Amino acid sequence: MRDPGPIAVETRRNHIPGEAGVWVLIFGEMTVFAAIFASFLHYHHFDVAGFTAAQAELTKAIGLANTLLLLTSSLLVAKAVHATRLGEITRAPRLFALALACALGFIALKSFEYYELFARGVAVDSHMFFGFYFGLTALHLGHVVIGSILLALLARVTRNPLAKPMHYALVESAGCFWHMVDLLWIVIFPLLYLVE
Amino acid sequence: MDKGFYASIPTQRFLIWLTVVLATIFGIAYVWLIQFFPPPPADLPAEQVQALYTAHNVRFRIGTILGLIAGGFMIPISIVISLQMARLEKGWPIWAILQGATGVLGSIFIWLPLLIWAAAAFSADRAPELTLLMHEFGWLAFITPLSLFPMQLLGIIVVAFTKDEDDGVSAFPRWMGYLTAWQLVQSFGGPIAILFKQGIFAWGGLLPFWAPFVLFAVWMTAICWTLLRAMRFQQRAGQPAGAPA
Amino acid sequence: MPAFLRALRHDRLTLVWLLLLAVTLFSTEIGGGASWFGSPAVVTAAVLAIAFAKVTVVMFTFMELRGAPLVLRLLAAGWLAVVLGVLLAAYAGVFA
Repeated sequence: MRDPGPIAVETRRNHIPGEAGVWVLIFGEMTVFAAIFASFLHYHHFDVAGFTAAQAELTKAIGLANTLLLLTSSLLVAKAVHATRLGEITRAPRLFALALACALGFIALKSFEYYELFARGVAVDSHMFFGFYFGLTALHLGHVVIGSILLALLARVTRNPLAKPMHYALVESAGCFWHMVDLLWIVIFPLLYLVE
Repeated sequence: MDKGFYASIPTQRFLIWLTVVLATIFGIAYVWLIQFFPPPPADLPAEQVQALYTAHNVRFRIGTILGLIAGGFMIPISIVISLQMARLEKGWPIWAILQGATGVLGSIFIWLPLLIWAAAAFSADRAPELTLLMHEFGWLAFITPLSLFPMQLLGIIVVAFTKDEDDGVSAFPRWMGYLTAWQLVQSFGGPIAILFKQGIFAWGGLLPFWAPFVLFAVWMTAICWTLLRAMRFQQRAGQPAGAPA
Repeated sequence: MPAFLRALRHDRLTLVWLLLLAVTLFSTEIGGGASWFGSPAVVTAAVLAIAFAKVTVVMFTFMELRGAPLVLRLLAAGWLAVVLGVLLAAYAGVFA
């Protein structure tokens, strides 16, 4: 379905957000991550004591702060996409830029968390838990970086009215990619920090 | 590119089929002669690794010979992709050049591991630790080099997202853009294998090997299809202007 | 009622965000070591179920799946249900 351009979302029904292609990407990526989640829980089952002891080394507050940062960035992106559709060329870039700020905050906080763990002598091979912890969060961080580049691009591109109707679909798609980054963390956080 | 852009379609077709034939030979060599499919576990002790090379030493080495001959299979298709991208870019085809350069360079990491493994198999009476070292070197060379592939894919993604309709003229419809973007995101799983000897992040695991491998097979099939389809259209239309819409 | 609160009532996105925040705080409180909420299995099931509920909410509001074709919505919901089931099964050691 061709996106008709700047139109308030309430009037659009039966419309694929972004494009079908991005949903294949999103569900494909999430399926791969789901396999990692399942693998983690599988091994957790056979060494609950070890995993729990290792988990105690993490700081829940940092994980929580990161979750809040990404949730906020998702809200900002959703609002920014709406603003883009309504042709608000001052508000949209500002919202994307704020979302980017949240993303950078996430990256900074995660880097600090890694540094703090390394400083305490925790290594990737300290325990299987940490293999998963570092592997999963590093992989996710890679997605955050790619998403951040997209956000920066969006903040730039939405400063002017979009030239073609197709561009609105691309903005939505990029927004959906960012939401995927948020979704992944929504599961990763409880999986690593809260599961007992 | 200029409106009079012309690149011989029969030649491009030949290059695509060359890629397919070489890739098939490589696949046969890798799966049946070298027999590293599925990958051996990354935490195998040195003696067992040694056995991999000595058990069927001659067959293994013949496999590496065939693999080294056919291992450049990504080069012809990278050139065709570049040409098809150049048709769609305005002015100097920057993205096409980037794609071609990185595609050609990146193809090294397909046959280089086989060279390393061939060296490991070359003398069957080595100390197992030495064989292990070559074995690991080859595997990491196969799985972890990341830097080139995303750049190659980036060019394709950019070109794919500048086209409105999938009219069969462009070899890079938007769905190919999304598939390639997925491929790009997936490729980040490779380097992580350097830190893991077992499990889902090791060189034989889901992230560094299986997911990228399956996706790559799908992507190669898809891009061969879109390239051939675009060239059929171009041929029928008598090679019209290459300038973008 | 102050103006911004009145405006908030019609701002679905921000309301959803506040809900997600609250649920996250609750989930964090009950999870991760010596919990008052119940046995480890209960806590884990709750925490994972909450996570997937959040994912569903984000998909259907922020990602605007609410306005998408039925097929996509069913696929998404189905996928989420299956994955949650698989994860809980893995946790319980079903894939031994």
